[in-house]
Amino acid sequence: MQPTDYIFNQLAALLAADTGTLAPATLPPQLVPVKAPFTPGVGLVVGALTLADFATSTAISTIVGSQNAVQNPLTFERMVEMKIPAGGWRWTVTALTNLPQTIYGVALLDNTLAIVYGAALLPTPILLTTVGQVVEIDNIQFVFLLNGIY
Amino acid sequence: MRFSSSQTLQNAALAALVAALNAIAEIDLELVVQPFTPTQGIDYTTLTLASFPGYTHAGATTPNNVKQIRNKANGNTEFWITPPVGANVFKATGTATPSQTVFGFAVIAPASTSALCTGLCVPNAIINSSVDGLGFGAPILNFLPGFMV
Repeated sequence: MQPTDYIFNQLAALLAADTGTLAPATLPPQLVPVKAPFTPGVGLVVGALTLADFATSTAISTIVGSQNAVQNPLTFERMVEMKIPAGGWRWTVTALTNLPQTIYGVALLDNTLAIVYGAALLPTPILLTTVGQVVEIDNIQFVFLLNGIY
Repeated sequence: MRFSSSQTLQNAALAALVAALNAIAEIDLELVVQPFTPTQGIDYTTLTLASFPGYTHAGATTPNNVKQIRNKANGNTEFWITPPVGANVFKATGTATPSQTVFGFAVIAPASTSALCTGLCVPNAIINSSVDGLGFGAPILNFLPGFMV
């Protein structure tokens, strides 16, 4: 059957408010940079990720509570967009420790860094070689495909 | 940046949706008797619903009226919207004037006047006497394994 806007809107809104994954009241998910090649996908697990260890590559906590359920006005796809914390999704190298280091992508994990919620590759891996260099992404989007439900 | 979602996240989305659908007090299967095109943005109020003698929509009014299953043949997750046994058989009890041709069906949540999904059937199933009728299986929403990026 052809699902309607109601179904797509509900999917996005419900996941954006899901306290068991993206929208807990405490202990929110965390975004981490990844320093080895990996393949994003539905079966990705933490064990397949090598987390970055440059200074300061510590995980960035997401904002607790409901995230944004939005629609792409160009594609009409619904998506959940994680609210951007103060300072953004950005890591700045603060010391030469463990450099050089190449960052291949980022992953959103649960608060204990044990469960993968999603991941993405950077358009081009970033080679970090010195203090002051930055790894940054603009946003985190989880998209529901219009032709994924029928 | 588009993230590739994990199985954990996709399972959470499906679980939340099936719970929300099961929280709806009433979900109805209605017959549509004018040609229409099922679309994502369809306005349910524009559909002409059947009104032949004896017609009543098939209402799934009990809790847990949407079942979530995994189709092992294709890997899809399916939501079966399950009206009470026999309720999705529509039988005329008299002749409709004018006669009515069923072109498809709509699953609606009447309390919110929202259509959940729509579909076409073999048209020209003419309801014009007390012996005509139509029966449908449970409407199914299919979620492909990649319904999320």
